[in-house]
Parts: sequence; structure tokens; C-alpha cells
Amino acid sequence: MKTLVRLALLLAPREFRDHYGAQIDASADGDVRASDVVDLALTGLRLRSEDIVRDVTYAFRRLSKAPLFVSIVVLTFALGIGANVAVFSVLNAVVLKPLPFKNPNGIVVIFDGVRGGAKVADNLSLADPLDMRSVPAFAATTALASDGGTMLARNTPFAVSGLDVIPDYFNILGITAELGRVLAPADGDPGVHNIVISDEVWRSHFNADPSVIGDTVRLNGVPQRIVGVLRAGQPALDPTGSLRSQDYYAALPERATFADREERYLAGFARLVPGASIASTNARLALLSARLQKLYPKIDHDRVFSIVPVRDELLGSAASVLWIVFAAVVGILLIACANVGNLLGARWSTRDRELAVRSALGASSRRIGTQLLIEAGVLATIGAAAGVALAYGALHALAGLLANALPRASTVHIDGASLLYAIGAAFATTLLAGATPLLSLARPDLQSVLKAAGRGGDASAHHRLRSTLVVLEIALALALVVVSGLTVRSFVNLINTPLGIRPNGVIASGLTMLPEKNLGTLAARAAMQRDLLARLQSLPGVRAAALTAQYPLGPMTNRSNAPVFGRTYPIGSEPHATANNVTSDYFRVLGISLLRGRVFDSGDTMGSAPVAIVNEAFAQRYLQGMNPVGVRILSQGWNDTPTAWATIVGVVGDERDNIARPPFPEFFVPMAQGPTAYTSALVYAPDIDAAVIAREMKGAFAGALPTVQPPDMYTVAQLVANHTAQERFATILLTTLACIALVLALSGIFGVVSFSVTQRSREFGVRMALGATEPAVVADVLRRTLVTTAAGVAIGLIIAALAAHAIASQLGSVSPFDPMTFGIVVLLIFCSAVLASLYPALRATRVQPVEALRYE
Amino acid sequence: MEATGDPHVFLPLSPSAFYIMLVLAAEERHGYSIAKEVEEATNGTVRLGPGTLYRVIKQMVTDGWIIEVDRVDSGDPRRRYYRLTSWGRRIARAEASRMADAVRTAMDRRLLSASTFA
Repeated sequence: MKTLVRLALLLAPREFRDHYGAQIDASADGDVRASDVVDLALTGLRLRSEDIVRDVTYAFRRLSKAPLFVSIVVLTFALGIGANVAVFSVLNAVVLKPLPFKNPNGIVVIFDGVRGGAKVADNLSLADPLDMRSVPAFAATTALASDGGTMLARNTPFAVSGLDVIPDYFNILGITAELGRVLAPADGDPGVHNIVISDEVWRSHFNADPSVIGDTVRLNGVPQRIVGVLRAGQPALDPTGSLRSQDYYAALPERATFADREERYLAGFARLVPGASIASTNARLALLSARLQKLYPKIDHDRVFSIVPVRDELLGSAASVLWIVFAAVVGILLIACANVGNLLGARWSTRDRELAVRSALGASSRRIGTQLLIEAGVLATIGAAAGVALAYGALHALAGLLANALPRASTVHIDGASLLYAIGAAFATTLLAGATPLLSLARPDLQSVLKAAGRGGDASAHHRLRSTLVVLEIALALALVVVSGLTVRSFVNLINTPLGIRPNGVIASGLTMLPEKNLGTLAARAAMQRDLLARLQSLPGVRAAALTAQYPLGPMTNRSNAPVFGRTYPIGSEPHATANNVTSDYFRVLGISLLRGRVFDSGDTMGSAPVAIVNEAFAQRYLQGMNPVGVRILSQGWNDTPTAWATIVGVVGDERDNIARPPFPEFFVPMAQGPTAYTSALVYAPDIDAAVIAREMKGAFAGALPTVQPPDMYTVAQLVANHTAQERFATILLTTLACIALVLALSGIFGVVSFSVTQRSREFGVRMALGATEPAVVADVLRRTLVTTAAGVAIGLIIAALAAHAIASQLGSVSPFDPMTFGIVVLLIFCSAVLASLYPALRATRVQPVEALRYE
Repeated sequence: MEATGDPHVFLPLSPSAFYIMLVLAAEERHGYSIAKEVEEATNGTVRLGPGTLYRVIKQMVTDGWIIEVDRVDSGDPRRRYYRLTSWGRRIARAEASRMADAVRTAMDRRLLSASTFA
């Protein structure tokens, strides 16, 4: 029992224990009851909480007397913690949280091979995933292709996006139906037209009618029976690896004919059996690839299957971008801590006298330390609360930018984890910002403090500590500004990359699928396209209009092999090129110059000889040393258009289909000879406001294709912006963070120099009384600043070089050690440091010798 | 510390504080014996646990109602003795008279009879 009493006593504050412990111990020699132990424990807790309440109240009372100090510190913390909470919330939602699927770690993307340095994911044939079922590591395999178009339900047409999938898709992702069922293998049998629809479509177009199961709708003209409605809120995986959910799903057949092997347009996913490794599965897939290469040398000679975890494929470079940004905000928080640490140090050192007196009056140094830390904690807590509010506002404001730049962006918000992070950050900042100045106060030597404070000298230990913190601030800020500078340069390079097309005056429409896709004959397609084109050409202000199967920087790139007639190629080295179907004015609209021969004209029709135009990259890579005009290449039909040997009639300049890569070899065939089901419209109307012409183009679409939702319209600048959203996101964020870091570091310099000048005012007064000139005093202050800055710059350059090296892969053509960026940033840091200390330096010269000496 | 002013602002006292003051009104006591005395005087209905006892003592010392006296216990040197200050005595007296008023009122309303005190 006595032991229990002693243990319970430990709950009480040390002061109480020291004073009453012995007496309580003595009374425990008599009779002790269990209730006594409880009473003692409760008393201990009560005294402790009373202490905390008293310290917090005391901190509030003291802080309320220094509103300026409090505002600066709270603002600093709010910026630092706010930026952290915002970026952490994004990192957590996008990178850290597991994907929203059942056992997401077992899901992999199947790649078909490597071409042009990039893995090719959407080039599987229907036979491939079925062949792969022989690989024991796969629990299930699926293949899918994007589809979509116009759904006609209950007499209303509406645009839909959809996927054609091998039905194991639903098992692999764990997607279930809330009504009816998901698709089954039999749904892919010939003659069966069954689909499942999303909860969203069910609610918006079927009034959430439960009797919808069994209803027939028309999808691009084909009747389809609805067999299920999927549960709401289940994301899907599409061929691009994004998590967009789809409006409907249709089944691909589970049997592949020999002809199916040639049709390569599918993306593949699989689920691994528990315990299967990526490496051993890839080894097994290599064997399968080799077997297929032997069995089908003509079709499968370039097959090299491999798998990658879906998470890696989905996040792509987003994960590394977010980690870089996260490192930047942690750097900012450290700068904020150093700044506040200095402010607290300055404030506490002016209180040395008070603290020394209180310590002399019996307050333990431990109590005083606790009180100071609680003061820092109160500031950090208020700052964290303001920071969370800031983060909330920032995420709200940035929602649009995030949605374009990052996968899973819609799941980003301030949640429990964010709040926990904010609390952790507040705690860490309290310790970091509070501990350093506290250490220098740890040994309040009454005599020296009373003397020094009376004379107003700057105790050198304090000064050293503050300078060290500023050096670290400058180092971190420099590293951040360098990283952001490199990112800005790389981004500016990127968006200024010549695309090979006119930057202004061009409007492009998104892709539209012509109605009645599967029923429509090529002639019907061509007629619809002629009507649409005529309407576009007649719009006021339009100088030229064209239709194309894929628009510049658009979402779709159709590539195929285009061997030259009469040549034989070693396996795997046939000419590979982007294949595009365009109307004759395509090149005029986009300002692509004709280098040789002619462009398409009205004589190139379905009935005339097949013709093609190649770009310069195609001519240089595959037709080197010969006149391309007159050469015949194989134009493989796609989208139900005919395959033919087409004679090259012209060579045009290069355009880029990916802003970050050099132009790819490309060939064009006339839209009239291969009318694709997908169409995008391009017009050149330099004198008309983009919004006006976009509206009129929508009108033309509505007139020509009344049952189809008109697509969105984009200027070239918008296409570039959509295409570079992630880079833009990283650039804006890093630049903002670099500015915050710079401002914090400069305010740190300003604070320290100001404080030092105030503390040394007596010295300056005396020196000026003894004849020192004003410039000499200013030079003295600036010299100290420059020494501190130089130290910070030296350390900062090392950090910056390491950071730049780490992000080199994100910088494109810009060298991570770009001397211009480094040089400008160093100059910027020095100039701003001088500016930040100029005002306090000038103040030093205004010290009146008499004033300074009065207190002596 | 000799405090002055109106003792009534501190009333009513907590029962623990009042009992401790009642015991100390008679003589200096050490903590443990205060608790014993309170328990005996109330026939065991009021028990001051060690935590409550010393917490209240600490507070009363801080407020100047009682003081620790310089006296070494012959039996156990760890014990400390406490004495009521004159300021503390005024407060205890004010509390006692507040209670007496309450008792008188209770008798007027026949909640108590004189025989209670017999």
C-alpha cells in the first residue's frame, strides 16, 4: 500500500512532491486505505491541470500585451503550417492512401512492349489476355478499350463515355452492382448486346427507376439491354490508367479468333495471386512472349509482355512531383521555426531580467522553462488553427488546377489525417522554435544578466545563436528558390516549345463520335463530315476549316506500322508512325508548311487512287536519300476505314503530338478516303474572339449532328495548358513556396539586424560621438549581414545542388546545375539581404550620442 | 504574509478547509493529526485523504490563512506543524458565524430544535 501511495504521489507536480512528499510518506506509516491512494492520484492530476491552466492564462496575459509580436509569429506559423497541411492533404490523398480497389496491391498493368523508349500499354489484342490465363501468377486478366458516343434512352439522346471490357474486369477491381448484376463472360457472346450503367446515369437519365433492368437503349444506334446498375462511388480504371468512372460498360468476347490477334487496341490489367512477385511474373511473361513470337511470327514478332503495379502507372511522375513539393513545404516550416525561434529568443532575452528575478524568488528553472514553452505552444496552436483555415481556402482555390494535374485529385480534402498532421506540426514547431532560445536561457546567471540587461549590450551567446538560425534560413530559402527557378525555366522552355503549328487564331473541338457508328456506312460518315465541314467553312470570319481524326496535343494518338512498298524489314524494325486522317485544309488551318509535292484536294475521293502525305520526320527516318513523292506506303485502316497501299503525294513540316518529345514520324490520309467515326474540327479564324467562334462552332455541330452532344472547344493555348497541367501545377506551387520562403528568410534577416542594432545602440552612440561617420556605421551593420548571408549561401548552394540533382528527371532540357539560375538566385539573395538590413542600418546612424549615454 | 480586508468574500469555505481550520483553532497540529482529529470529531463521516489534505493546506499556506511553524516533531522529524494566522482566524470566525446564522434560521423554521444541542 505504501508503494502505491508513492506511485500515486508521482502524478503530482514536483513542487508539491518536494514539499509534502515526506509528510505524506510519514502518514502512510499509519493506516492507509485504498481511497487514500485514489484521493492522492486525483489530487495530483488536479494540481497538474491547474498548473497548465495557470501557465496558459499567464501566457495569454503576457502575449496580449504584445499584439505586433503575436501577429507576426502567428502569421509566420500560419503560413508554414498552412502550406504543410495543404500539401500533406494532397500527398496523402493522391500518393499515400491505397487505391480505392479491393486489395489494390495485387492489380497490375500489362504492357505490350517497348517502342521509342516508352512502354506501350494499349496495344494488346483480344487474344493476349486470354493467352495469359496460362500464367499461374495471374488470378484473373482483363482487357479493355475506351468507347462512348451517344446513348438514346427514353427518347432522349445524351453523350456517354464507356468501356468495352473482358468481364473479369469487375472481379479484378471489386466493382459490384446495386441493381441487377455486373457483366459475365456470356455477355460477350456473338449476338448478345448487354450493358451495365453507372449509378449516375441511372439517376440522371432513368430517374433512379428500379425497373430499368431489362430495358433496351440504343448506343450509337445499336440496341443494348441494361442488365445492371453499378453501385455509386466505385471508381473505374480506364486504358489511360486514370480513375474516371464511366457511364456504361459493355462486354468483349471471351474467345479470340486468329483475326483478333491482328487487332491491337486494348489495354490490359490483371490481378496477381497472393504472393506472386512482379519479377518472377515478368520472367514467366517473357517465356510466353517468346512462344507467341514463334507461333505467330508475322503478328507477334515484337511482343515483349511485362507488368507494372497499377499504382506506379497511375501516379506516374505525380508522386515525385508531390514529394518535391512536400520537401519544399517542410523546408518552409523549418524556416518559419527558425524565424519564430529568433523572435522568441529576442523577446525572452529582453525578459532575462524578469526571469532572473523570478528565479531568484524561488521559481525553479524548470517551471520557467515550461512557462516559456507553453507561450510558444499557445502561439503555435493559434498559428496551426489559422494554418488549417488557410489550407482549406488554398485547396478550394486550387481545386481546378489540381484536377487537371493530378490523378485522384477529387479525393483531396482536409480530413482527420490532415488535422492530425497539423497537430503534429504545431507540436514540432513548439519544440523547434521554443527549444533553441530556451537553451541559451538555461543557465540564468543572475548577476551577469542583471548587469548586461541594465546596460543594454547584446550578449554574444544570444547573437551567435540568432545568426546561426538566420544562416540556416538563408540556406533553405536559397535551395527552394533555386529549385523553383529551375522548375520555372523548364516550364517556360516547355510551353514555348514550337509545336509546328500556329499558336494563335486556331480553335479545335474535342473528339466527337459520329452517330450510328456501327450501322453507318463509310459513305454515310463521309456525307455527315461533308455537311459538318461546309457549315464550319461558312461561319463568318473563318478563313479555313478542317476535320481530323486526332487534334494537336489531344488525348488520342493512333500509331501503326507503315512499311514502304517493295521493301523487306528485319523483324521489329518496320516504319512506325502516327496515322492521321484529315481533310485537305488541315495543313492550312494549322499553318503547317508544304515542303514538297501537294496537299490533298477535292480530287482525292473514295473512288480515286489512295494517296498519303508524310511529315519531314517520316521522310528523314524512313525514306532517307530519296524523293518521297511517288513512294507507296501501307496505310493500315483503323476505325473501320480501308487498308491500302497509298502513294505519297506530298511532304509537310513536323508537328508535335507530345510537347515534351521531338516530332514523331507521321503520315496523313485524306478523310474522304478513310472517314473515321471519331472527328475533331479545326478552324482558323484569327480576327474573331475565341469565345464567339467557339459558340458558333458548337452551333455548326448541333446543326450537322443533332443527336450528338457538341464537344468542347479549345484554343491552342488551352490545349497546351491542358497538356502541361502537371508541370504548371508544380511550377505555380514551387514558385509560391519559394516566395514564401524568401519573404520569411528576409524578415528573419530584418528581425535579427534590427534587434542587434537596438541592442548595440549604445555602442553606435559612443562610436559616433567619437567621430565615426554615418557610412562607417552603415557599413559595419551591412558587413555583419553579408558575412551571415555568405555563410547561408554557401550551405544553401550545397542543399540546392543536392535538391536539383534529385529532381533532374523533372527538368526536361534544363540542366539541374544551370549556372544562370544559380547565379541569379545567389545575386537575388545577397541583394535582398542588403535591402532587408538597410533600414535598421540607417536607424543605427540616427542614434543620438547623448540618448545612448543617458542610461550609463 | 499578513492579509487584510473583508473575510466574507472567501465564504462559504469548502468543508475540508473549514474542518482543518476548526482543528487548528485549538492548537498547532501536524497534517496527519489534523486528518485524524477531523475524522474523530465527525464520528468518521468526514475523511480527509492525504491528497485533499495537503492540497488544501498548500492553498491555505499560499493564501496566508495558516503558516508552517518551525517545530520539530519528537516522534517523526518528517512531520510539519501548522498554525492558524490571525487572518485565517478571522475567516474561520466569519464562516462559523455564517453557519450559526443558518442554524438560527433553521430553528426558527423548526428544522432543528434546541434538544439537538443537548
